[in-house]
Amino acid sequence: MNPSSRYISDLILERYIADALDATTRSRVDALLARSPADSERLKKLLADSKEFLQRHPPEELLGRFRAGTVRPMELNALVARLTRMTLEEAHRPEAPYISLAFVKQCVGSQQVPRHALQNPGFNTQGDSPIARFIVTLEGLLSTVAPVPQRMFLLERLLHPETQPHPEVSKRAMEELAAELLDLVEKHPDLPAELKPSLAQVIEKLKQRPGAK
Amino acid sequence: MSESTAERELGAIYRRYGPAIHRRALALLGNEQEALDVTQDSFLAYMEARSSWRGEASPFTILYQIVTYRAVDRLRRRARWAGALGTLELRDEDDAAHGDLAQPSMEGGLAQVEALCDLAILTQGESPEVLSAAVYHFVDGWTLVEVARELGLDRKKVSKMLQQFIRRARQRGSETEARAKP
Repeated sequence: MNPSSRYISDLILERYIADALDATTRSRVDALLARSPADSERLKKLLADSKEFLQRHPPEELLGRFRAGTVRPMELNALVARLTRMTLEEAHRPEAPYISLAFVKQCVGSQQVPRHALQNPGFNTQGDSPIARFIVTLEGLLSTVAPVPQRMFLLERLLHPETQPHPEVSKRAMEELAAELLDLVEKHPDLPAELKPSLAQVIEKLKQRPGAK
Repeated sequence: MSESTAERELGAIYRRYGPAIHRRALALLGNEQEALDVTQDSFLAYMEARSSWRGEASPFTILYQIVTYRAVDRLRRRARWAGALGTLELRDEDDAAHGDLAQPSMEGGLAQVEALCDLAILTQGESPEVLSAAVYHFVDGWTLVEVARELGLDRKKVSKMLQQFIRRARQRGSETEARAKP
């Protein structure tokens, strides 16, 4: 056996590390590793790389995306939409930095966000919808992007900094909605960090309670 | 927030398979950030559809297919036809290679990247299974037996599947080359 030659492919070594080989193949790999310095060296490198990868990218980030994509309710998406709108308005100044696709994906909380065709399935009740439309919705009142549920419309009024209290909604209903929203924010700490300044403003507004009759 | 059962499961499979799946994504895409993104997307896709795969294949096999499919899909969006893939032909060296644990690994050279970009264009609209088989055989250099083993299919089925793919790909390739001519 040539000591500088490899006898085990990387895929087999990957499966060996992940304990995803059948017993027979695993025994063969063990035997080859015992005789092949080049393969043993490669295995050590892969193990070190795995350790370093998990240190750099622990599961928490992925778990955050998992929670965001699977359990973020519509109300929270509406809140994120509002926060994103506020953040985007800030960031659209000429000197502002480019907004990354990753940021937008994080905002909409979708697991299926292909480039140029971003979707927000939790919010858009009409099925697939491009992110361009979502961004457009952020630039206008949500009420103009029909159809949206009445509750979403109320939420937008509640969150919009220039909107007056809705004349047809009782103060109690708005307070309940505000309390639900604050509860959602507490339960979903995965909101993107870029949104936090806007989130602080919204929370302050919610705490002041709307002045509807 | 306390972790749900699904979150614990996701954390466990990520710790176990994440590094290997990320290395696969990086080898195909050549970009660290994109590879990380595709790695995470692959795990989320796995969690979404895991009940439909349960019992049919190992999580490693499924994740490897998903990450390959998603990486190629990502490549397709930026791919320009390079004509580097050459003539698609099945290599029938399986008898000699059968049982060998040292099938060639992807080395990531420019020619291979260009070949993968060409393949990404040719596999547009193909099923994840066909796409995976094509990448494993034509780019990774696996034998038909190895492709069949990885996909949990019969070798003859893989051979037939790839022959049918070649016919479709040649048609697409000639159309793409015709469009690429000035």
